[in-house]
Amino acid sequence: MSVVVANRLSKMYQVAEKEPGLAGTLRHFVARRYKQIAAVREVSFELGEGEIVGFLGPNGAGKTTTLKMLTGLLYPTSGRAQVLGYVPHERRSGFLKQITLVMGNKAQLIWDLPVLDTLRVNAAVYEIPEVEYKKRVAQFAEMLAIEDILTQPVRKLSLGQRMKAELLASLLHHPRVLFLDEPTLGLDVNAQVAVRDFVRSYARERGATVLLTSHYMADIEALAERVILIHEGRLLFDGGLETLLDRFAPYKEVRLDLAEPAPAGAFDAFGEGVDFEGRSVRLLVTKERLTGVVAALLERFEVRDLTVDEPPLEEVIGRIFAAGAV
Amino acid sequence: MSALTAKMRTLLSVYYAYMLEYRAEIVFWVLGGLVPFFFMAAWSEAARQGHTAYTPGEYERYFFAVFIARQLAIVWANWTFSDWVRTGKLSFHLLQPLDPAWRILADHAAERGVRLPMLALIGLVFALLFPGALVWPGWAPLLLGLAASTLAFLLSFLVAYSVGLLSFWFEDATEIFELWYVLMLFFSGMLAPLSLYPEAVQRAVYYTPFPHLVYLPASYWSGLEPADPRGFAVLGFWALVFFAVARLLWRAGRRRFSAMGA
Amino acid sequence: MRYLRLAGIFWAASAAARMEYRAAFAVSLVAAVVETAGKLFGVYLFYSNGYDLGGWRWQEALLVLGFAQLVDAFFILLFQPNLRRISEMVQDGTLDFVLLKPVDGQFWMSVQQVGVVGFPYLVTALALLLFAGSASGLPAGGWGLLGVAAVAAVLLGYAVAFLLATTSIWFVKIFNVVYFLSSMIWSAQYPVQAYARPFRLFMTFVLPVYFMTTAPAELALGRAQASWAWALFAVALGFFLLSRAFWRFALRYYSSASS
Repeated sequence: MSVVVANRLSKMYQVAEKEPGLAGTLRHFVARRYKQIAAVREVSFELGEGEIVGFLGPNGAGKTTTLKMLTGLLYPTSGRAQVLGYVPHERRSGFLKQITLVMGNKAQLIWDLPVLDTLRVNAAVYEIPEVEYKKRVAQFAEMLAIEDILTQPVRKLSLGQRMKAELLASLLHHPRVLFLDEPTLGLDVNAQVAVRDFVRSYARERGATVLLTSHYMADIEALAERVILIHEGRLLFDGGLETLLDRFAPYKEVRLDLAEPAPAGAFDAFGEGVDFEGRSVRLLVTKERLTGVVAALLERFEVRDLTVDEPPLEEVIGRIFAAGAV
Repeated sequence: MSALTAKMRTLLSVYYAYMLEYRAEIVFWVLGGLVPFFFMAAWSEAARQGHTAYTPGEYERYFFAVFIARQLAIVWANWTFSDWVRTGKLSFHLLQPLDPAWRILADHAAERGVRLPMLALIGLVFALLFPGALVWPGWAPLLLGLAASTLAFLLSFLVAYSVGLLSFWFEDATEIFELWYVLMLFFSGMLAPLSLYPEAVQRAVYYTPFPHLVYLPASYWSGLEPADPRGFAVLGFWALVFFAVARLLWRAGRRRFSAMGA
Repeated sequence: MRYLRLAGIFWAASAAARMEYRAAFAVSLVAAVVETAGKLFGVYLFYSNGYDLGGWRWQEALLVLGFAQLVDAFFILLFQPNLRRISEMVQDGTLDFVLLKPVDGQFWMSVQQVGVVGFPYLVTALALLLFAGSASGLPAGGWGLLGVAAVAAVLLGYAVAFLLATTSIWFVKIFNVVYFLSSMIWSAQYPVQAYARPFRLFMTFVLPVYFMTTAPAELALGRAQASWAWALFAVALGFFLLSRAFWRFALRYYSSASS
């Protein structure tokens, strides 16, 4: 049975329009004009038990809106959301106790108090027994390597430490479904890896279902086998990461190391996305042309080294969104 | 029910720690609440020149009671709630299986724990500066006054919380509480004992909560005039009304919040 | 001139942001009227009980009330929204950005925002001053003095508020300082002579609220012969210079303490 179901989910917003300047302000003060904006349009997908799914899309694509509908913070304008058999926006206690939402750009920790105080509040709110609570805090803190900061006021923590503590607080009640909205936003590479590892081992250990958005493709590559792409509120793709690459990236990345500098523009005929820097060249070549192009390159230039690789995921996704079509 | 008490106990202890962090703020807040003493200074001077019905000592006792009653009824639920809506913190609280009202109530109750010692200190200083002004009111008036002041706090809290809930609709609704605050300022007996107000005014505001919020506990504590126990009924009635209002707004507001988003 | 333009830009932007809140503005309009009515009622209570607030005709007492309301209006309009920012900016570290700007820091911190909800209070304050002034039969010279004294009173209010708000460099969380001052002005809405003597001294020498309300009224009415009222100008200027010096001192501490 599916743990998370989105069935033709749509969300319309009404926003007020205002022109700049004093005249605009005054006009806006007296009479407001509104316009309807569709944040999410008829998005459908299902997540099975224990799945970790990457949720991708450019800013404003409707990712956060979708997550909020699935966690019950928003109710859909039309369509149906179902999580663990519950209708999210009814906000039943049984539902809330089994899910969590982590937002990389917002904090639930109490700013002026040590992390442990927020944890205590959460333990009480989720009715976690004392012994169990201590056990979980110890275990999670060890996994995240933040044992020694739990007694420090939140405002003294670095961004990375704060995010780890945020995760700890959000997972303390052992939710079965995790909605993670940019959990690694702004973190340095080490902290990103730590967060990623933590999410992975938590999900594996507890068989939790995870829906994760991130700007960092490394997060998606490391955690998710399946990805869902949305753009301008519409679902573009839902399937395996491999399939995505096959379907949307019929390219290979060819890197050349030349013996002598070549004139600019010399490679334009061979492929797209030419990156040309002195003697090292990088270009994208469609799979059908690959053999021919490599042969031609070797013939035309004096090549010291040549590698063929999968292009980076960022670039692939970027191309899909730039094209805007599937 | 016992699950709720357990939650409240933890919330109280954590919010107490939180409020201790804000003690400097609270000091200034308490000092800002010293205004009744200036009215006391004016009225007792008037009494000294033989103009009014009471003695300077009676005014001192009365305005001290007014000061305490006002301090115990201070609320800011409107501000907290609208802050939650504005910053998106409300989302976190909605995701938890506990009505956010309890959190804000715990926040207020814990703050009283930090404020009370300061009030005791001010009481001590007052007793030294105005020897003989403070007299023991007796157990019954003391407790009745406390009951009245608790009821007044609950009513103020419900009003403030209801106003806070309006943030679901208006981006900056907290100003509406300003109106309540101003009316309370003028009709609660802070300017002068209500008995000095013109008859017509006293009658006009009798069934509103304002003349009872501060004046009722202050009358019990100061014994200036016999307290009017019907004030309990008026306060209780309005508390029920605003309880219902808060529930309705909460239900409608949540629906709206889910429709509009944070 | 650059400073005037800057202030203009700040206020237009901040007013635009605040005008979003129509409901709030409408409410503050009602609140200002109710509050003014309530204050007048307070004065009425004293006179109806036969107390002349220490030898003032009621029209003259209203002049004092008018000055109190004027200073309070500036609190809501300018001091409160801006001085709170000092505390916030120390807390989140954005004060650094201000200090990097080639503009006087104190000026910047004092004019960034405007609390639109203060306008109704300003209007009622001016109306009150006009009414009380003409009811007391002010001569032309009196009106002139009233204007000058009003400026000095507002400047004094600003300087004291800024002085206290600057301490947030050390004690980060003191948003309520400004609330405290505003409530002190509330207590100075009657002539100081109305209060018992210790309070009178406190309001003159400890918290200089006497100079913000009673003194300007005494100057305008020509009652200033035997009082401290003329000191208003010296006190206002003194506090203003003190606030500048203290701000500079606090910044030295700030820049040496933060990492």
